[in-house]
Amino acid sequence: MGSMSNRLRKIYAVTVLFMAFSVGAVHAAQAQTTAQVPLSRLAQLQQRGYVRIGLSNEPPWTVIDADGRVGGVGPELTHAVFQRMGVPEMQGVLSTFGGLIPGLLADRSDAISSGLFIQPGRCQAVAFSEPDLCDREALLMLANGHSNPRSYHDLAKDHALQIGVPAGGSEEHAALAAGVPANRLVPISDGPSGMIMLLSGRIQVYSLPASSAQHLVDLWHEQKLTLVKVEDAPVMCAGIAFSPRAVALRDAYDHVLAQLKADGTYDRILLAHGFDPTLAREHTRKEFCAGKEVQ
Amino acid sequence: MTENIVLDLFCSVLHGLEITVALTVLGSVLAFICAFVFGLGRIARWRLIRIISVFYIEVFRGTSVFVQVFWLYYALPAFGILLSPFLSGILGLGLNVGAYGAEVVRSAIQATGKDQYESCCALNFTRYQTFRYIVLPQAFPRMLPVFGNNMVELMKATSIVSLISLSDITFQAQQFRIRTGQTFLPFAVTLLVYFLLYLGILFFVQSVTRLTKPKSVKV
Repeated sequence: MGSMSNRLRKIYAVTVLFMAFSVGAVHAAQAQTTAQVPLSRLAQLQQRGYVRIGLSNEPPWTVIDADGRVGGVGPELTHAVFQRMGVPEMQGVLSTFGGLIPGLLADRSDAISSGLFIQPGRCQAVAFSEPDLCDREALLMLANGHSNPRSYHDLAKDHALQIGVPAGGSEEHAALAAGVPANRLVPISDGPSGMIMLLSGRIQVYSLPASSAQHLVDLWHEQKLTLVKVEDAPVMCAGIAFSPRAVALRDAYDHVLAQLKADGTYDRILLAHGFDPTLAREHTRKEFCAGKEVQ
Repeated sequence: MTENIVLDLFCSVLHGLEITVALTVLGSVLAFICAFVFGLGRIARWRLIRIISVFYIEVFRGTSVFVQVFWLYYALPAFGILLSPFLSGILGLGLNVGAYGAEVVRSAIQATGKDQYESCCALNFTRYQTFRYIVLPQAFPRMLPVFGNNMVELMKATSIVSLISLSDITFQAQQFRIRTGQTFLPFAVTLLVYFLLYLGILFFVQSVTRLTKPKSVKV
């Protein structure tokens, strides 16, 4: 051992300490997940008086103004439901779209309401409510474009097209499923970035939910743009996402959401933001999750 | 219309500036403390303290500050530790930059000539006296330019907290873009504000340098 240099010994000590720390951390994590919560989550929220909602700025689903106030159809509906559940206040926890589910699982928020579409992959990670906001997928492109794709299959056939998709969004799966190779899909962090990439020719098509696309068309009203609702993609519905440990809270939410759908409050909120209230009634969580629900 | 947009941007940036400045100042204070504690710990007489200091320095210097902040915000809750976003930001930035600072402190102290220590020995100074009255007054001005650099790096790194739901300048600019579709204006303003903050730090470090210039001391 005497031949071991001082430097080597230091590296050895650091490595051992690091490993010891990691092992301890993993044990602590396991202890945490097996701990039981005595009070129900709903009772905890009612006692606290507010619910923390994970949001990303996705107009028109979620709108955040200069003072950080939260609006838009998703949060407004969620607020109405929680108010009737006896939780008067709502607090927005802002993050990027891709950071929503990690934030929920890390207990940074109690639920996500930001136009998160119900999909089998996501159903395995979080507990969705019944569908509340539905939309079609759309393709956005310059009006003078060379090709005129109407569907994801058209995109797969035209090898010259670079297609922008929201990072972490559902469009990527839909395009891949239709045979678009991954190297032609460009993840895009937000609407304006996608528009600039479209206008500067870095992408030729921008695929995103129709209502988000319409919002961008309105913002860029001086540009000649074509908005196509994708033919071969089904209607997608968003739901409120809860932690997989909060299935009881989710069930309570579903119960009140059904009440709002019955008494007209739901229709009033959706119509005020230009969403179609009939679409969600035709669909269920079960159908979108395709048997991959957490229990 | 344009006036509204300018006012909106002004409000957004002002809100964001508060967070960015608070993170820079508090993060720098933590980094400064860490730099001295672990920089001195690295050359301490006790083996255990040396090992702990090397462990801290190498781990925080050798991994990405981005990942560290994510760890504090998204991974620690799995261990039952729920830090606020603000605290996660300060800890991530302060601990990371502090690790670089610790090496600055160590090298500045080790750069003090052997003759200085020998003179102290000849004058029968204690270890504390040697350090406090002879080594530190020479080593500290040597650290300052590098500390200044580190502080600028920390200030610029504050933009990563926009990923852990803190509304700093970058986050506000991003939200403004999504609201209005404008891109040139918010990014131009953001660049300018970061540059002004940089000038502020430069001015601060220069003032401290002037104040701590070693003077000939009559003993």
